Amino acid sequence: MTDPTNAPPSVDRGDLPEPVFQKPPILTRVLDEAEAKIREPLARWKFFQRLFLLDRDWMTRITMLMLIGAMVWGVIGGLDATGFQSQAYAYSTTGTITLTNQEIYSSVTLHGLRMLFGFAQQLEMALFGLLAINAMGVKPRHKWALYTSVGLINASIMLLEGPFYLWPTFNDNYFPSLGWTFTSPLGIQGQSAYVIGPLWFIGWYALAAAVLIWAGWMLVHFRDWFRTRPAGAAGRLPVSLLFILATVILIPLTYAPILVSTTWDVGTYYLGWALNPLVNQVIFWMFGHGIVYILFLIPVAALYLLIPILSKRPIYSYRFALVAAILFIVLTPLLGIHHLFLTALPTWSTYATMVISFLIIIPSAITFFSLWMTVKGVRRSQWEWNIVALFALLAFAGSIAGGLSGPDVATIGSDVDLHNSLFVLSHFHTITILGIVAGGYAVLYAVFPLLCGRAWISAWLARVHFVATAIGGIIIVLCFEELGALGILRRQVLFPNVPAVDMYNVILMAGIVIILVGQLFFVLNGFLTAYRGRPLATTGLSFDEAIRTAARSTYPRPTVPIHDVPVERKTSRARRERVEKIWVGSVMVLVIIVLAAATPQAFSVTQGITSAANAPAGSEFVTLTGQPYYWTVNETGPIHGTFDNAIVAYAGQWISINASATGATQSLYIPFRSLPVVNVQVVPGSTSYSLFQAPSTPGVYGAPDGEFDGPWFGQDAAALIVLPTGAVSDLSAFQSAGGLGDIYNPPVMTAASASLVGDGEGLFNHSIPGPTLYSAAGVVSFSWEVPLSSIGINNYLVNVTSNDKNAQQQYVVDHNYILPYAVGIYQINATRGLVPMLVQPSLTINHVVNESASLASGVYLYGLISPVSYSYDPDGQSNGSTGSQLGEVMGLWGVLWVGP
Amino acid sequence: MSGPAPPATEPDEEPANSWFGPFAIFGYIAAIAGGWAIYEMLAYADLPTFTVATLPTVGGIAIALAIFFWIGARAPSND
Repeated sequence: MTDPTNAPPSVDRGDLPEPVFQKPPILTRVLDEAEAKIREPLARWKFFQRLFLLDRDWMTRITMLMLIGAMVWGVIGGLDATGFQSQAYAYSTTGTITLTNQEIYSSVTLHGLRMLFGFAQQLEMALFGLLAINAMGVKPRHKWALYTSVGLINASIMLLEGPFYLWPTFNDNYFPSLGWTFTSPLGIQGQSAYVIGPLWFIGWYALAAAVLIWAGWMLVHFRDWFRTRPAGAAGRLPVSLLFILATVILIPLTYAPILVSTTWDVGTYYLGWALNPLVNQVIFWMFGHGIVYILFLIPVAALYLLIPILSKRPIYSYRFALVAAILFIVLTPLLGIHHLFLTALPTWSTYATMVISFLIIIPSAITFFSLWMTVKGVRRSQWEWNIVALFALLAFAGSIAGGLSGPDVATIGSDVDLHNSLFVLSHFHTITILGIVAGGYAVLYAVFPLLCGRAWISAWLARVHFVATAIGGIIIVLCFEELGALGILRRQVLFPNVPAVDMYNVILMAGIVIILVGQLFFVLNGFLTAYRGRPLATTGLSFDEAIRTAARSTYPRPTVPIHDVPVERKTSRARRERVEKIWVGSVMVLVIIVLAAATPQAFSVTQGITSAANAPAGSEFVTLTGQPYYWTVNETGPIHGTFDNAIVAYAGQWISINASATGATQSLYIPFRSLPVVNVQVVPGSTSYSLFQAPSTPGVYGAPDGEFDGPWFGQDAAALIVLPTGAVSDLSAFQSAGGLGDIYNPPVMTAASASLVGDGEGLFNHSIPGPTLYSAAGVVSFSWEVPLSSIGINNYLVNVTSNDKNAQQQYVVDHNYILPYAVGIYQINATRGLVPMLVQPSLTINHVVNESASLASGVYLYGLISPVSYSYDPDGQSNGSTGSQLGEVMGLWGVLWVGP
Repeated sequence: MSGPAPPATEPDEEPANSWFGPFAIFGYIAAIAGGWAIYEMLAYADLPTFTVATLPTVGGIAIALAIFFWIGARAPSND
C-alpha cells in the first residue's frame, strides 16, 4: 500500500499548479467561452433550455442538437417526396404538372440527400454515440470534434442544395436535379449537358468530413474503453456495440471512395483531368451501396440492443452475432458493382459481385434468426407491446421483407427485369422506411426520455405515430412494387396515363401524406415531452432497466416489471450454437445451389452486354448514340437510315445494338411482358451491346431511357417501330396482343377521329411518343394543335427560361405564333430512311392544323421528328457558380400507320 | 419451526411459447414479411425469362424461409 505522505506531488491534489501544456488549447478555450456566452442567455428561456437541454452536459446537448437536426431534415425530406409525388398525382388525375422539371427532379434529389444523410446518417450518429458512450461507461472527450462533425453534416446538406438567387429575380431552380447522388459524367463541366454548381462538390466534401470526424471521435472512445475494460467475459463489447463498431469501421471504407470519386470529378471539371466514367461509377458505388449498409446497421444494432433488453435475456448466440458483424464489415465494401450489372463491365467483376451479394445474406440470416431465437421462451406476460417493442417488430419485419427482395436485384438475370424500375424503390424503401426508420424510432423511443430526463408525455401520440408510419410505409412500398411490376421506371413523372398506373400513383400520394402526418405526431410528442414531460426517475437503475422504464412510458397500462432478472442458462451454449450452425449451413447450401442455377443466365446477360454477339444473317445492325435527351439511330441491314429516337426493324428480325453515349449514362429499356425485357445501360466512354429479336407482331413499342439523365428525363423516350415483313396490315393484332405488355407503348388511335393536342410538357395527348395513328391507305386526314396555353416553363418548344408563364407565351405572341421547327409527315423507307411527304417549315402555335395527304400503305412519322435545343438560363444566371443545363429534347412526334 | 419461509411458488400455467407470445408474434411477422418478398417476385412470373432468371432465387428464398421456421420452431428456448 502506498503511503500518501511519500507520494510524489500531484496536480490532482493541488500540490502543483496546473502545467500550461495540460490546459485546453487556446482554440478550445475560446470556443468554450463563446459557446457559454451563447448558451447561458438562451438557457434562461425555458423553451430553449428544455428543448436543447442547455443545462445539461455537452454530450447530451450535442446529441439533442443532432436529433433535432435529424428530425428537421426528415420532415423537409418528406416534403420533398411530396413535391415530386404531388406532380405525379396531378399528372395521374388531371394530366397537368405545375412545378418545373428542375423543381420536380431536384425534389427527388434533395429527398434522397436529406433523408439519407441529414436524417438517417445524423440520427445514426446521435444514437450510436449516445449508446456507445453510455454502454461502455467511458467519459466523452473531444467536444469540439463532435461539434465540428455536427456542424459540417448540417452545412453539407445545405451546400448540396446548390445556390439560389434572391436578386434580380428569385430563382431556386439551381437545386440539383441529378439523383440522390451523381453518376459521372452527369453534372461535370465539359462532360455533360447538365452542369452542376461547385457547391455540390463542396457539399460532398463537407459531408464526408463530417462523418469521418465522427467515426474518428467514436474510435477514440472505443479505444478508451478497450484500455480500461475488465478482464474476461465482462470485458467484451455488448452485442449491439459490435454493430456500432462495425459501422464505425465501415465509415472510412465507405466514405473514402466518395472522396476519390468526387475529387476525380472536380479534377475533370476544373483541371481537365481525363475521366473514365465507368471506373468512376464503380468507385462511387463502393460508397453508394456501402452507405445503405451503414444505415441498415441502425435497425440491426437497434434490435440487438432492444430485444435482449425487452425480453430480459441475453442474445441467443453472442459468437454468431460477432461473426455477423465481421461479415458485414468484410463484404459491404465489395458490393457496389451490383448497381452496374447492366453496364459493359467485365463479366468476372459482375459475376464476382453477384456471388458476394449472395454471401452477405449470411450475416443477415444469422442476425434475424438470432434475434427471433432470443425471444423464444419469453412468456406473453413477461413482454409488453410498448412503442419500443412495436417499432422493433416493424424493423424486424421491414428488414426481412426488404432484405429478401435484395437477392432478386442481386441476381444478374432478374436484374434485367428490375433495374431502374420502381421495384428497386420498393426494395429500397422497405429497407429504409420499414427497417431503418423503424429501427431508429425504436431506439429513439427508448433513449429520448433518458436524454432529456423526462418520460414520454403521451402514449396515444406515440401509437398514432407508429400506426401512421407502418401504414404509410406499407402503402408506399406496395405501390412502388405494383408500379414496378408494370414496368414503370423510377424518377419518371411523365408515365403512361393508364388506369392502373394512375391508381397506384394516387394511392402512393395517400401513403406519403399518411406517413408525413404521422411524423408530426412524433415531433409533437417529442417537443411536449422535452418541454413538459414528467421527470423520469432512473437513479439506481441499470442501463437496461432505464431503457425499460423509458419504454414503458409509451404503454398505457404497464404491467411488466422493469427490473433485471438474473439469467441462468438452461440451454447450453453448444446446443444453441448447434442450432445456429444448422441454420447457417442450410443457408450456405442454398446460396450455392441458387448461384449454380442462376449462373448460366448471369453469364448470358453479361456477355451479351460486353461483347457483340454473332448476329444471325438478316439482322438489323443498329448503332445508338445517346445524349441528353435522345438517341441518334443509324441502321444498316435490311433497313437503312438515320432516325432520332426511333429504332426500325421488321417483325421477328434480330436486332444487333451497338450503343455508346455522351453526357450521361443512357439506358435502352423496352419492358416487354410477353418477350424478354430489353434493358442495357450505356456509360459514356464504353460500348454496350445487345442482341434481341424484334416482336413478331408489327406495331409501335415504347422504349424509354431507363437512366435518369437530367431535368428532361421524362421526354427522353424512343420507340421500336416493328414493320411487317410483307404488306402493311392494320394494328389489330398488335392491340389484341396487348402490345406485348410494354406499358410504354403509345396508345393507338384512328387518325380521322384523333384530336392531337400539345400539352405543357411538349407532348401530344400526354404520350411520348405521341399516339400511334392508324388509317387506311388513300387520303389520310388528322388534325393537331399546340395551343398557346400549353406553352410554359416545361414546354421545351420555347427556349425562354422564366417561372412567369406569360414570358414564354409572350415570346410566341411576339413571333406571330410561329416557331422555327419543321413539322410534317415522313415515310419510313427501307433504303432511304425518312422521306418527307408533307412538311411545313414552321410550327404554328394556337392553330388547328388539318393534315390531309394521299398516302400509300406504309409506316410514317408525324410531327416534330428532330430534337429541339434547349438551354435553361433564367435571367442569364447560368454560369460557373450556378451550373447550366442544355439538352436536345423531342416529344411532339409519333407514328402514323397506314394500312391496306 | 424457525428460519425463513420458503419462497412462495405459483403454478406456471402459461406456456413458454404460446400462440400469442412474443416468439409467435415475431414469427408471424417474419412469415408475412417473407411472404411479401416472395409475392413481389411472383408478380414477374409472366415474364418469359422468369424461370431461368428469377425462379432459382425466389425458390431459394422460399426454401430458406421454410427452413428458418422449421429450425426456429424446434430450436431450444433461450432459457
